[in-house]
Amino acid sequence: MLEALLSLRGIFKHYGPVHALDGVDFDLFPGEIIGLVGDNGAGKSTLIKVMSGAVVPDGGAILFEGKPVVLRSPQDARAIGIETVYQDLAVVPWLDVEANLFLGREMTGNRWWNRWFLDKRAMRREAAHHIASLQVGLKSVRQPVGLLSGGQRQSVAVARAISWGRKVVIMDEPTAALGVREARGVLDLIKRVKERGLAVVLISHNLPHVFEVTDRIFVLRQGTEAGTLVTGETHVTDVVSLITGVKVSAAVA
Amino acid sequence: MAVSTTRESRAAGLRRLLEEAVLVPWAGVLLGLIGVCIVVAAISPYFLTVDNILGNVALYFSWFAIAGFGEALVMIGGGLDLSVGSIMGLSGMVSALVLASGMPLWLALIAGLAVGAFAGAVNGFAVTRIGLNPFIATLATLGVFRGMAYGIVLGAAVTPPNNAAGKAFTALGGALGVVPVPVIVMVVLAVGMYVALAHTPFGRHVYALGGNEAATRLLGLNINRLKMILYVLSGLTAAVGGILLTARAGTALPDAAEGYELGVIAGVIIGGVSLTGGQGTIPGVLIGAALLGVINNGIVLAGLAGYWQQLIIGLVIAAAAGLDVFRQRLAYLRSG
Repeated sequence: MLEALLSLRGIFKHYGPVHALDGVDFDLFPGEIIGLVGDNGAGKSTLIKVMSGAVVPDGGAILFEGKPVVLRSPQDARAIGIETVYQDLAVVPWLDVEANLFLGREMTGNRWWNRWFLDKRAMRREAAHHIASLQVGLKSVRQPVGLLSGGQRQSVAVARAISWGRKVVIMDEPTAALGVREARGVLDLIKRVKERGLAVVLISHNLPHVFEVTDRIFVLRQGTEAGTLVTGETHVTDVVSLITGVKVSAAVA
Repeated sequence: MAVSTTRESRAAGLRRLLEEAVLVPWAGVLLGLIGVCIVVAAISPYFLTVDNILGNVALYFSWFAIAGFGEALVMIGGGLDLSVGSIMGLSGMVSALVLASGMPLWLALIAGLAVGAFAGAVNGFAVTRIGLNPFIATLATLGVFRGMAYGIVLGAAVTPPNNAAGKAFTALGGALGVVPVPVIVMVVLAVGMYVALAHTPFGRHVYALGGNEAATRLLGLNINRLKMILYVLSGLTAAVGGILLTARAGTALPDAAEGYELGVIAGVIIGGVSLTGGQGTIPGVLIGAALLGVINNGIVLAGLAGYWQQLIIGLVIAAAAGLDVFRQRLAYLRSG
C-alpha cells in the first residue's frame, strides 16, 4: 500500500475539561484531496492547527513521509512543506499581488551592488507566470490585493500557499465568504493544485463543494473520527449521518 | 476618421494620466504645495528668492522632515511615536554636554545619536515586550525623556565651548554656500529612507506589518524585531534632527523642540501616511513637511500673527485626510 504523506496517530488535545481531540488517527496520501467535515465544535480547527503547527498536541505522534516530526510553530510545518491558507488572515490589502506572493521570501539582485535591493522585475515576471499557470483571472499582478474581489483575494492566498508549500496545502473554508461564481473559481483552482501532485486538506461546511473536489471525506464528531468515506462511493446523507450521529434515510434527505 | 480616433485616444490617454496622477500617493499633497506656493508668492515677492526658500523655508521644515522619516516608518508599520520632540531635545542636550566637557566633536555626535537610539529602544521595548499601546507607551516616554533633558542640567542651558569642536558643532547648523547643512542632511536621509522603504525586503515587511499584522506573523516574519528596528530608527532620526537644531541654535535648552512631535506627525499625515498603518511614502513625507514650512513662511511674510498658523495647519490636516478618503474611493471605483 502507498505510504501516507502525513499521518496523525492518536492525537489528543484537551483544553481544561474539554476534549477538543480525543485520540484522532488521520492519514493524507500524496496527490489526494481529503475533505475534513464536522459540526461546529467537532474539533476541525484544532485538528488543522495541529497539522499546521499552530497548536501543539498533548499526546500522539505526527509522521511526515514516514518519519516522526514535531511541529512547534507554523514555520516548522512550512519548513517540511506544509502550507496553510487561513480564512481571512492571509493577505496584506495595500500590497500588490506580486508583493503578497513573495512576502517573506523576496527576491533580491545577485550582483554585489544590488543584492540588498528587491528585484521587482523578476518577481513580477514570476508572479505573472505563476498566476497565469493557475488560471486565476487577474488583469495585473500590480493591483493592490485589497482592491480585488473576495474570490480573487482567496486565489492569491491559495497561489501563494502552492508556491511555498511543495507537498501539503491545508485550506480552511476557502469558499465560505464567496459568491457562487467566485467559489467555482476557487474550486477549480483546488483541482489544479491536485494536478500538480500536492495533497490538499479541505475544511468546509459546504458539502456540495466537498463532494465536488475531494477523493475522501474525513468526518469528525466530538473530537474523534466518526468515519472516513470514499467520496465517489458515498451519498451526502451518509456524511450527514456521520456528522450528526443520527441515521438519516436517503428518502428524507 | 483616423484623426478623430487619434484625438479620442489622446483624450483617453490624458484622462488616464490624470487618474494615475491622482492615484500616486503624494500627488494631491504636491498639488497642494504648489497651490500654497503660488498664493504665498503672490503675497510677497521675497518668497521665491533662493535665500528665503533655502535659508528660511527649507531650514525650518528640515527638522520636521528629518524626524518625520523615522516617524513615518513607525506609523507605516502601524505604530506611533509621540516622543520624537522629547528625543530631539534630549539628544541635542547630551551632545552639547559632551562638547562642554571638552570631548571631540565625533564623540558628541555619537553620544547624541546613541541617546536617540536608546530612547527608541525603550519605546520599542515598551511596545513589544511590555505590550503597551504605542500611543500610551510613547506618551509616557514623551514626559520621561523631556524630564531627563531638564534633569541632567537642572533646567539650565548648555552652550558648546568656544573651541575647535564647539565651532565645528555650530557649523553643522550653518550653511555650505547657500544650502543649510540640515537641508543637505535631510535630502541625504530622504534618499536613503526612500530606497530602504521602496526597494528592500525590509521596506515591504514594514508595509506588511502595518497592513496586516496577523498575516505578517503567520508568514513567519519576526514582528517584534521589526517593530524594535522601527522605533530605534525613529529615535535615531529624531536625534539627528535634535542635534542639528541645537547646532543651529548654538545652545542647548532643556525645552528645545518641545511640542515638535505635533509638527512632525502633522507633516507625516499630510504627506499621506495612514494613521492606521500600511500606507505612506517618503516623498510624501518630504512634501508634507515642505507644505508646513511654506505655510509658516507665508504667515510670516503676510505679517499675520503666529497663532493663525495653528488654525491653517489644522485645516490642511483635515484637507489631506479628506483627499486621502477620496483617493481610496477612486481606487475602489477603478478596480470595480
